[in-house]
Amino acid sequence: MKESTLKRVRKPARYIGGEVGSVVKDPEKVDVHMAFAFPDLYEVGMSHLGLHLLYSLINSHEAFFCERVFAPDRDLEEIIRRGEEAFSTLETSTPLRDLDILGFTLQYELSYTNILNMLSLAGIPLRSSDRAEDMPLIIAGGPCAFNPEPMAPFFDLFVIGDGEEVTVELMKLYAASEDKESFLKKACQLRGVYVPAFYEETYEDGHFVGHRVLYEQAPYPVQKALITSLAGQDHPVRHIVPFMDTVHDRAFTEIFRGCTQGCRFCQAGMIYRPVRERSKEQVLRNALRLLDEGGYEEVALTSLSSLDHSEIREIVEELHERTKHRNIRLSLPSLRLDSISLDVLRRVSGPRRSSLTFAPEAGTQRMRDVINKNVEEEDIFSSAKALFEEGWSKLKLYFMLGLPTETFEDVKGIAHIARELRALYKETTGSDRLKLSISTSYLIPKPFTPFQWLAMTPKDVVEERQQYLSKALRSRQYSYSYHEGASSNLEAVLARGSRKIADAIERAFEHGAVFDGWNDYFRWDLWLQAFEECGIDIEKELGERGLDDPLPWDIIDPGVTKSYLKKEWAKALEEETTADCRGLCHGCGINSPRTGGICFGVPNPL
Amino acid sequence: MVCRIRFRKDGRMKFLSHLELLKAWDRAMRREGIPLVFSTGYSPRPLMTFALPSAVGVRDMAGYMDVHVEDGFDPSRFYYLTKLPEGLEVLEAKEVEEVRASLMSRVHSADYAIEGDIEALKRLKSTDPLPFVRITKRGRRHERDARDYLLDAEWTERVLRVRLLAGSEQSIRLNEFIEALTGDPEAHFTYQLTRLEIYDKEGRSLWEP
Repeated sequence: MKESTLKRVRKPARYIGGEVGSVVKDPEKVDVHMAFAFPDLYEVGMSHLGLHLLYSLINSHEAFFCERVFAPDRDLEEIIRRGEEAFSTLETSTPLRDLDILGFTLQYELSYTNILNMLSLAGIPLRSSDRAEDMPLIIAGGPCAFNPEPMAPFFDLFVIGDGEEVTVELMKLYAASEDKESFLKKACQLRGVYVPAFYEETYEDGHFVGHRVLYEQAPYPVQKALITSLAGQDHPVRHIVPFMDTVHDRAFTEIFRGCTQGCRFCQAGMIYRPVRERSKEQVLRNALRLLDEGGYEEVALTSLSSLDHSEIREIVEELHERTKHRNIRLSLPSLRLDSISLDVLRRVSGPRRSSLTFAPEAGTQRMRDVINKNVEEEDIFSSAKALFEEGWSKLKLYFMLGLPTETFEDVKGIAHIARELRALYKETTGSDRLKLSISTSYLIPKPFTPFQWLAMTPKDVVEERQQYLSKALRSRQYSYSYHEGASSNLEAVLARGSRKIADAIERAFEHGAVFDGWNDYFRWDLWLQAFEECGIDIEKELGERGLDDPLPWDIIDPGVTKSYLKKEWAKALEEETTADCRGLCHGCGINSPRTGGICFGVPNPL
Repeated sequence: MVCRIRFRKDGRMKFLSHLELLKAWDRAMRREGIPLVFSTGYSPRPLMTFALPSAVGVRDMAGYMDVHVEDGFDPSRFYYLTKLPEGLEVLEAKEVEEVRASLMSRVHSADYAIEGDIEALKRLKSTDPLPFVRITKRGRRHERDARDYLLDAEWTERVLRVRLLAGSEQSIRLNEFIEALTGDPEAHFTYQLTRLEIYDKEGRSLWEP
């Protein structure tokens, strides 16, 4: 990028590259030159483990070169649109259209218009059918790829599931292929690869009825890629150490993948099964290397539920022991208000955060049973009491609204928890200075969860509940914040859409929608206009799906079966919980020869 | 013990903000395994202080930093750092006494080199006032004369070298100075700007004890 550009834009550290841990190769001397594209600002994308992982993995191969590119902020976007700067990669300033492969990560639906914006800024036609042979291959992966259909027309292929092995296979195949078509025909044979051009959706009376396979060798459904063990998987062996403050500015190392909690609203908990742990030795080795080579002052042990690692106490204790002289902060995302959390927290006596975050998700035991969030009220209060005794005075609590069967009692339960915590703090410490942040989000029915068939709770119903909480939590001790209904509805439409939604995404982008996940930029009016112009009935999209209706994401097989999800939905309505499956297999489908999945070496019970 | 470092900030590093630069040094020191001394409290931080932040986009040949390290540390080790990001370089390092006066409080003025179309800056050679407007944090507009901040100027063919007040009592930013000379608030983008040295009230370089 030109010096004069860097001098003009806000936060130029986003665009300079050259971070410790970044890799520069000669593009002329590699077989495949690609870029990992994160469709949001640098500070968001650099906090994402998958970026560091794939970057480290791909660049460990001499024949491949992976660069990075992020969404430019609006000021740089204008400069690019004026033609004063080319939209290019961070490492070597290569214009994106000169790459072999451009790989986007689909982390959240509200970044979809940013993807189109990035393609457009690069001068790359948005739809794969409009791209000539000399254009880069545009691919995607990440959690939202589990329902690839709303973005299907824009991508040449999707990687579904664990990216490590299949990405390398794809790049080898690419290097050996003559042209795009022959590459795609071979690529679709790899497990976890979905080539949308080989399928079409079929409709009857405007209703989605299924997929037709256009290339007979293409599999249906597409099974997710799965690595059965993380034992030999140490990427990222180093991080790219950012100069600017990023959202999560620290070293992070994944201690296990998958989750056995079985929360019924949680897509990640279903699609990343089974649980695969890294051993204590492996975790320590990785964490210490990342700290040493990055110079970080904090390391996070990440996973969907880090306290569930079978050796978490030992890991935390030993890591603390080996880093305390350097004042390294340990952080554990996804803490729970229970005794195990407390026990682990106590062992982390080093530098600490000023506040702790917990997610009880719902205000009453009944509601938590419906969503299978296994936290008991008793646990919440006894743990909080212990925290207060140890000097913590700031808590953040996350809840959801619009849950199935939710009534006003459940909403009142949230305020009740807040008031009880305040009283408890007073009783424990004699002071009334507890700072409690409460935030609520909308339940968004996501594909491959037991709630996938559910109607989105209407905005006005949820808003009434938000207003109740706003009033109930009006005090200096509380701060209450909530997610907006319009953007949550958009997220729901994009999450469960078919390929028809792609037209509306493109139209909304043409009208100027971009950075939809940022409140400052989100423009619901542009989306409403786009949906109307494309003949999409939002109410129908937000509505309930029949249990036996064909679903656009049936094209993907995540390993967990539909019959299991139905069973879980039935149990939810009965307010019946499903225990953590580390104790007993509930037959979700992942632990079967069909998927090659293995849970803790337990043989398939069926 | 306290070590004083004089460093260069160049290339892409000149686009770091002061806080980003601070973090870059913090992490570089940790990577190198320098035995840092930390502040006390819940969130201990390495004890590092800087003389005067240089503006984003300005090269710096006079970055000054005091860093607390464990006693017995050999300051010459700072000459052999290998894990610095490209564009940061230690120019000089020595042990200093733990003095009460901080580096920052000694700052009085600084020398800058302005490279580029210096013809456009020739108003400096007249005796006319060089007004510019400074807007305070509260939004008040104050008209000032850039000449009041100018201590010295030296012209060569392509470079204008100026010494400007830079202390806590009175200071002018380089972009304000160039705006006062050209009337264009964006003119500074077109010059290569370098801070050459920082001086105390007596006109001694900050490197002097």
